[in-house]
Amino acid sequence: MSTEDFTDDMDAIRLIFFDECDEQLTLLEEELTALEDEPESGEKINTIFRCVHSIKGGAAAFGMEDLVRFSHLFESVLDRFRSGELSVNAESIRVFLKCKDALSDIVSDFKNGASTYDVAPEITAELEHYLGSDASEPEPASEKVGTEDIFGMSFAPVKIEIDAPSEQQFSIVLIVSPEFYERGDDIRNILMALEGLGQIKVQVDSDAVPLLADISPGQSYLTWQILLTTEKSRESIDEIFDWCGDDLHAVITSVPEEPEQTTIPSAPVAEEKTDPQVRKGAERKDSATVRVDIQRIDKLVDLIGELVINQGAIQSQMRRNKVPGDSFLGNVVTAQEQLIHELQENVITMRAYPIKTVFQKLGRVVRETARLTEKQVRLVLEGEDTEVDRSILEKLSDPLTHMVRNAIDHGIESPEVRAQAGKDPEGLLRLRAFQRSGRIIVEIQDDGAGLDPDRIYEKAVEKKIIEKGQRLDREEIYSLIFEPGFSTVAEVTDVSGRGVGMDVVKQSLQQINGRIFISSSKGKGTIFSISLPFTLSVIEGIIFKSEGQDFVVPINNVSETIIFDNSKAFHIGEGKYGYPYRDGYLSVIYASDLLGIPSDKKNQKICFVIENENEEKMAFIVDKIIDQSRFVVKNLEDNYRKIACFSTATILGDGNVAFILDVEFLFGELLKKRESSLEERV
Amino acid sequence: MIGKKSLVFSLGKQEFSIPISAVKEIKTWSKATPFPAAPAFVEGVVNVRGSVIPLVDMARMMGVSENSNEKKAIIFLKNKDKVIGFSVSNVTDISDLDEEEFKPLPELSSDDLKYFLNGIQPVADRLIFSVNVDALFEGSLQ
Repeated sequence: MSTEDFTDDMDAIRLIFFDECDEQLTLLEEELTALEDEPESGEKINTIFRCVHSIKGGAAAFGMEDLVRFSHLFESVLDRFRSGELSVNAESIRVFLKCKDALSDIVSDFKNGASTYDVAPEITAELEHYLGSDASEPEPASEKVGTEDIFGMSFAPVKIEIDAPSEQQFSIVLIVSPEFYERGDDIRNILMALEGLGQIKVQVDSDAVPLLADISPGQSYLTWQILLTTEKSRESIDEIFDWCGDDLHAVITSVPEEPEQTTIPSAPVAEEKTDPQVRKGAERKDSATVRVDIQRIDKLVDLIGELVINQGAIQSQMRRNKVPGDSFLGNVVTAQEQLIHELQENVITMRAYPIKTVFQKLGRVVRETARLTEKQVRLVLEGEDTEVDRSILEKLSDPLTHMVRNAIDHGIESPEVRAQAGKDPEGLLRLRAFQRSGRIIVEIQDDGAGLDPDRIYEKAVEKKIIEKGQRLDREEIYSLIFEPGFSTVAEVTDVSGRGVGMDVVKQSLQQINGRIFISSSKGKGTIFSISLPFTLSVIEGIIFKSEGQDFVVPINNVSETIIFDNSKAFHIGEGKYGYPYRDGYLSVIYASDLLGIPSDKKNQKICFVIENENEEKMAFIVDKIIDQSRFVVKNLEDNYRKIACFSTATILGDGNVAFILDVEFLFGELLKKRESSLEERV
Repeated sequence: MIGKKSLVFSLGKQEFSIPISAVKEIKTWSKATPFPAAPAFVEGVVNVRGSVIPLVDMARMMGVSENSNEKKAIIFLKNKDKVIGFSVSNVTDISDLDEEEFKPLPELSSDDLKYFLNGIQPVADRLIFSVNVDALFEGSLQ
């Protein structure tokens, strides 16, 4: 997490929560009104229940206890109606609507900075009336929503004085445990975050540092004393430390008015900074964000896509009419092209969202799965600020949830087993996101038992996925877990192992153009890494011609472009050729063969060295290169279905469609052919 | 009333009808961009204002290919959020055909025809086949 945005991030998540509350409340109202016409509708009651439930869930994460309490009560009542114990009538709908209004009031009060809210007792009484004598029954829903944050640390509400004086001073003493550093955190992050709140004076207490000879590198000797002058509440300070968990012990005391400098000993002040950013930060909060319906942005992306296509049309028309590029028209059109690209990039980033929105949901999944499987799991999140296109993010949540469950259920061992193996009884689950060569990589790493190739092989034979005796290398065996119907756990557990596991994960990832790779080592753990495109709407590619038809190859898949000398190609089998490349040889694919167009291959002069995710290379031979550009991606499945070798297409300046080569698919197909020819020989 | 209207078009000499509610657009026929391994009845894909839409030779798919070489129009139909273009010989007219009035196809009609057609209706001296849009889409997406 970037440190400067420490406090702003928390605010941003809060804002999202309130926006979601508003959505849920709108839906709640709609459904309640509709319920008047159809009081028997179980589906409506379910939706209403879910609305209240999700408000409760969010409120719990932010420690808004009064909101949790009320929505919990409301939810318990709704549960009675949902289960059919009570039936809906005009009176109950009236009560529900009243509760909905109370809920809106609480939400809007919290949104405006309150931390407590007293619900009118008559509303509570009316609700409790429905619950009968056992009003204090436990959670209606199966899962428990605690006031616990995803990192497992407490988000218990902190009472603050709402009419707090405009400036306050706090004395903060920081005692840092070695784990804090082991996690890769840095005390400076804390200081910078504090600095975001106001003016700070920092002093380091180095008295505990021993002589050099006695220093143990794993130990933490320093303590910090900080005097913070801020307009912000005590709560905002606590927020900063809440993120650090138990590794950082902070003693925060409020310094009374007329602060005495004596709270800080008269030792030299190590650091003193007034932060010009403070005012800016406050303003930034006010300017806030505009929430726009995602469909409007999608429409904008589409329209800009059209604009790009039209731009291409203008340029191709200009070329045809031989308008010189350095003419006035030429310059204006070039400038316009740049503007459009910039516009496109900006709009696409509007759709991008930090992956943390998905990661944070997983915190809860981890806790629940750990509880169900009786395992101890520590979740570590890295790179949560990595931004991903919203359309991808939306489809990432389900597969990741499944994989996290799997990692805990099948990967991480029980505390006893781990202890026997000499491991920390607490398992580690690391979720990591980062960018690599234009793609987003998401890793799910556990330090569990690792995949057992022998067991997977046996299971695959048993499930008739492979034939006994079939020779597979390790990677191929791992990839068997993505086969439909594969599940290594003998008994079906609550958590995973319904047999609709990893194949569904793989399929849903493929929908968003994602690839998944496994690396695992027995006894040490497994890493699943998912590679995703940044956006699905635009790709950088090279447009080429083969037998008169235009095609696009994504630039990410082209490692090199060379002149193809047909005389150097040599025969390696029926219709198969090899070609020298650097100090080795590559298999050759002629574009015309791939397309099924008969060709004498005389025009084929260009060789793309194409490369897949596994860095396997092939020589792909085409007639000529036309241009390198950005292409608006059109999904073929929108109106048709998957096409072999081409997953998507684009529209060119002249209005024609050009297919975008799916290099991964191409490699997959060719490898399949290789396997089948091997089988024929056997 | 609009729901009852049908678009009448021809494949070769034979006339067919389709509920007008399913028709999204009609265009003059143009060549599609072909792709490898496409079924024989799929001509390729075309661009209609920024959407990539498959173009299906309807006569070929339904197996009524005689005299259907001339393709003058593309009828774009919408069904379950997908849009598919179908090339036809010509678009004849829009008329009020009553779905109820269609009579079943003769027993010995080909399986393809039985699959794609709802029935036959005589209109004056013409004979009009009613096309089943769901079947058309199912057939096209195979």
